[in-house]
Order: sequence, then structure tokens, then C-alpha cells
Amino acid sequence: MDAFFASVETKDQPELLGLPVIVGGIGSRSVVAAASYEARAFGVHSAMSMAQAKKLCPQAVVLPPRFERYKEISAHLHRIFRKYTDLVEPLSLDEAWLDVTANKLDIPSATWVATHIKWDIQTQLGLTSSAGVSYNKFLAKIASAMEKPDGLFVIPPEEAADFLSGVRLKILPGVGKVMEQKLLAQGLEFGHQLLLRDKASLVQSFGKFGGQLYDLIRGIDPRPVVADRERKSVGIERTFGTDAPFGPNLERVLERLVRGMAQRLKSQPKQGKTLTLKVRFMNFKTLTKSVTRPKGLKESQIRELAFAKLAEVASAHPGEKVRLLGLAVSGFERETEKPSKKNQQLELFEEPNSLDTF
Amino acid sequence: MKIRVEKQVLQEALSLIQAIANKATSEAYIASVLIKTKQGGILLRATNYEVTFEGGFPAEVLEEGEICLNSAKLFNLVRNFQGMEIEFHSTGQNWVFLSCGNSKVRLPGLDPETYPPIEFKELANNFAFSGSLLKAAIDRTLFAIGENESRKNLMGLNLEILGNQRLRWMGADAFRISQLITEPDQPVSAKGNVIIPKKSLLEIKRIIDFSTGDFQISFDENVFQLFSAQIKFKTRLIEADYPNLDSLLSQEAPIKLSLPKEELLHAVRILNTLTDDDHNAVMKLTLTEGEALVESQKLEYGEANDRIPCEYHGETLSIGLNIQFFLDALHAFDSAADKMVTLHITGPVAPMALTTESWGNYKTILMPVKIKW
Repeated sequence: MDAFFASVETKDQPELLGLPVIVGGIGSRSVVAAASYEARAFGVHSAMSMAQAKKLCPQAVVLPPRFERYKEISAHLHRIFRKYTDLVEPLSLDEAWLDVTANKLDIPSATWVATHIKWDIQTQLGLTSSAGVSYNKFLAKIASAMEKPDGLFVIPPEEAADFLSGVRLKILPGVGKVMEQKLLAQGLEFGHQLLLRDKASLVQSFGKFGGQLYDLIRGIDPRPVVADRERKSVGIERTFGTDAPFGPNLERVLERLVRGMAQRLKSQPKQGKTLTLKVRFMNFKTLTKSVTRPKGLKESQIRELAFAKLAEVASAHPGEKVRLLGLAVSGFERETEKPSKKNQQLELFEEPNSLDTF
Repeated sequence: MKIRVEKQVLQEALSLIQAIANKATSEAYIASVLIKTKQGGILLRATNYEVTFEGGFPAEVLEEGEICLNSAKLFNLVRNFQGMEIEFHSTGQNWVFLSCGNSKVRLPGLDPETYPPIEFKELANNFAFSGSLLKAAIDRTLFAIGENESRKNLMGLNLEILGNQRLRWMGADAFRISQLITEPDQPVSAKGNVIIPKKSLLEIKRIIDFSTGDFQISFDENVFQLFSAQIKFKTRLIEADYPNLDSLLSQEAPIKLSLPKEELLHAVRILNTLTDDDHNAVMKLTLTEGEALVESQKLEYGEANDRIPCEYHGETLSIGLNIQFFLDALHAFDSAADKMVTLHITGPVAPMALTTESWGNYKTILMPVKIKW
């Protein structure tokens, strides 16, 4: 969807049409969740601090996010998707991968399916969307961003090589600011430059991601579209009104996060084995500390581990103030791990070295 | 070199070494076989440094010499030849010409001069042993031998010379033990123990099946050798200390229950069929007054049970067992003449032993599964 939250607000309050609209927290320390294209013209973009956004575009209408409403629209969006295929893999509230190879309406061209869906979204929801069509997930995602807003961009297999050789590498998934700098340091800015490098040298320079880069720039992405993907992690975080020093106040917030996390985990069928504590300092430097246990974590263990990790961070960064505190639980046990635990094959001896030998 | 050899003879000979030479390797000699003329025939050699084979086979020698060829390729050529006799002819440049029936093949060989030297030593610990007994010892212990790299010392057959000229053959992993004690006809002038790698046991079985007559067994701390009139074979040993399992093997169980071997085997096979040979599938053996109940866990694949009348008079007792392990243990008694097999039971979490009356020197033990149903 194009500028999803902002578009929903404009749709619900038509008087905002044509005005720069920013959705985000009201406080001076919050960030931009979405900006309408009118606001983007002033250089405002999502994840920017609200203070800076207001500086760039003082006349913008700033609205608090209404997540319940966005979820409603998102559900409708998914009903539209499922009219065409059940192979829908959501990326976020307003983005999803659809495998329309065999679609319910037997439409012979994926491009036509995209046109139909865009039409449905426009007529049923009154919102504009952008679609990317190609033969794998990676290319479809890149294509969807090529002609925003209200775009439809197709990368047919026979044009993928040409297309990829001309792209800037920073649009590839997994290439953020840091990776972009690393690539530039090796003279890699465009696809055709990356194509000249062999796999071994890329792996040597960029590790495992080097191998992925090698495949991506050749248009290789074998990942299937997976409907009903299990949640990989459950997270909760809190940004403070004013930066907080380590101490009782921070611990109270952590306790609230632990309880909130326990609440969220109740809806998960399985227990996660990994807990991650995230601490962002006032200078935006962010630290994460993870701990993994062999079995799923209960609320009491989450609390114990979270406080232990916070104490670790506090002792390593005395005197620094914290801007954000977050918790995430991941590593959910797979269903199949459970039945085998029921019966237990006993062993003749416990430790290989505990035996008498000749 | 120029020789004529019967197709059937060569094919059998090459089949003995395929598992040795076929190892994926970058060293060409390991993937190859050396064929060398000797009086009245040829010698075939193969080695992968772990295991080494040398066998003599009849052939008509027209011109002495030696050649070295890729073992798998030669084996496949021979299998496809239609004639009865194969003629080999090599040139100084290591080209080898084969002809058999209407087929003519020219293929490049390796320089036989650089083939790794092979030697079989006279070792102090040596004794004669019957092939059929050796095969029985392998058959009855092989299934229990471990495959877990973290317990290296259990990854082979432990051959131990006990006093009074008795030999103990033992296989074990973390869950079961299988022990056979043999008394050879001829005196054994050896002592100590060796652990023969599981992989090599399959080669040894193949050689026993091919051969007739007795074998000469010899070993030192590094190597185990097996010689027949026709074949010499040696394998590196697992250099580790074998655990002392005597306390587990000598335990006396309070309950000794005889069950009809065939009926029990059929009952367990039914469960195994039901569970699609699942290696983790578990069964329950319940003893009640005058009856043994063999039943599966009730799972998505269905359920089954069998009742076997028996002389049990005591409290009801249930033991969980891994179906595959129990089947392996029962099959170890396949060639025993006995109609009954005896289960030595201590309790649901203690090792259970299996014996039969006529095989007084053989025992297999398995650990139960703690079941929750």
C-alpha cells in the first residue's frame, strides 16, 4: 500500500486530501510511522524523528496512529488477496507476497492478476497500492517499489538480468547503510559491478551474505511463498519520555515489559527458547543481549534473564542514559519436538568417560 | 602384461573390493585396483589405507607384468561384457586393451610402479579360526555396534582373548550390548583385545562368504589381519579403550520368562509394520498372570496388540521398548534351534537381557524406554 497509515487517515478524513499528513507519536521524541506523499515532498520519511519532520514540514497535519483501524483495513486487504490465491505470505500489515502461478480465477497472466487486485483495492477500499510482478519473491519485492505510488512494475524473466545489472545495490534486501558502505569500499555500487565478482571472493569479503549477494544479483531466490508462516519472534519495547538512567525506574519499566511480554506470549501455541534484551542509549547506540535456554522460557525465567541482562548492560555502561528498552522472545519450539520428549529411551551408561576401561 | 581371465572369476573378485576402492577420494590410487601376474594367475590389490585387500585368482598368464585401473570402471565394464573370457593387454605407456566377446576397449591406466606398497606382516598374536564361526560372531554383534562418533570406542566389534582360550566378541552402543563367547578348536596363542571398525566387518563378511575353509587371524595394537588360502585382508583398528561392561552383563534378573520365539517375533513385526519402520517407535510389553501383552502406542498410525500365553505368575509389570532394537535383538537368535527365547527382566527401567537355552554363550541386553502412556 502507498503511505498506508497516512492514506487510511486521508480516506477517513477527506478534508485532509492534498495536505501533508504525518502519522506518528505526538511527543517530541517519537518517530514518523508514515508520511503522505505530500509530506514526503518536504523530505519527511518514515522512521525519521518527529522533531525533524516538523522542522522540515511545519505545516504538516500530525495524527496519532490508530492501529485497530489499520488492522481492519489490512484484514479487508487480505480478503481481496484470497479471492485470487490462498498462497499469501504477509510481510507487514500492508504488504504481502502472493503466489499467483495457479490462481483461483485462472487468470493466465500474473500482471493481469496484479491489475485486478489494484482495481479491487481502489474500488473497495478507496486506497492506492503498488504491485511488483516477477518470478521470485526478491524480484517482486524490488519491483513493487519501482513505481510508487499507484505503480505496477513487471520484471519478466528475460529482462531480469538487464534490470539487475543496472540497479543500485542498496535496493537489495539485506543491504543497509553499513553494508552499502562496505560494498562501496570495494567499488561495488551497481549490479554489473557485483556480477563480475566470483562467489568465493564475495564470501571471503562479506561472509555468508556474500553468497546470497552472488545469487540475488543473478536473480536467484528459491524461497517459496509460505502462507500462515509461524511468528518467529514476539517483541515489546518502550521509548521513554525522557532518557532514563539505570536504576529503579528502568527496572520498573522492565517489569512492565516482562508482564506485557507474558501477555503476548499467551497467544502463542509454543514457548520460545531465546530472550533478547534491547537497550538504546540517548546517543541512539543500540545494544542487544541474547540468551538461549534448551527449553522454552516461562514468565519467571524471562523475568530472571531480563533483569540479569539489564544488570550486565548497566555495569558495562555506567552513567549512560537509556532512550529505549525492549524485549523479544524467539526460537519457538517446533511442534515435532514435543512428542519425542514423552517417551525416553534409557541409556546403559550416562557419560562416555564415566566407564571403567581395560 | 598379457593375461586371459574368466569373466565370472574377475567379476566376483572385483565385487569384493568395490567398497574399499570406491571411496570418494582425490587420490587416484585409492580408487583403483592393481592387477599383477603371479604363477598361474593374478593378484588383485586394493587399499584405502584403512582397509587393505590382496587376493589371488586363477588366470592364464601370457606375458608377465602389472597394470593399475580404476576399480569401479573396470567392474562396470566386466559386468557388461558378454563373452566368457576377458583378455588384458597393456603397453608401456599404461594403455590397457581389453577384449571380451565382440567388445574391445582401450582405457588409460595408472603407472603401477607408483602404486602404494602393501605389506602383510607376521604378527605375534595369531590363531586359526573357522569362517562360519567368525561370520556368526559378526552377525550376532553387528546390530548392536554403535555409530555415534562421540563414543568412538563403541564404533567397532570388541574381540577379547579371555583366559582358557576363549574369545569374547562384543558389540555395544549406548542402548544395547551383544556378547558371544566362542571356544576355538585350536589353541589360541594371543592375548589382549582389539576393536575392529564396524565398516571393516562388512568387508570381512563379504570375504567369508566368498571363501571356504578356515582363516588365520592375527593382530597387534594397530591392525587386525585375516588370511585365507586365497585372500589377505587387513584393517586398521579403533585405537581406544573398550568399556568394561561386565557388571551389566553379569546381572542376575529376578524374572526369567520364556516366550515362543516365532510368536514374539511376529507380534513385534506387526507393530513394526504399523509404525512404518519408525526408528523411534516404542512398544509396551506387559506381563500379567499367564500372559504377555505386546502392544503399540496409540498414535496416528493406528494401534495393534498381541497376547502370548506364558508362565508368568506375579504382579503386573510393563516395560517400554524401542521396536527396532527389540526386533534386532530377537533376530540375533534367528539361527538358534530353540523354540523359546528367555527374557531376563528386572523392572521397567533396568536393562533387559535375552538368551536361549542352546546358545549358552550368547547374550544380548537392551535398555528399556521410559514410557508415558
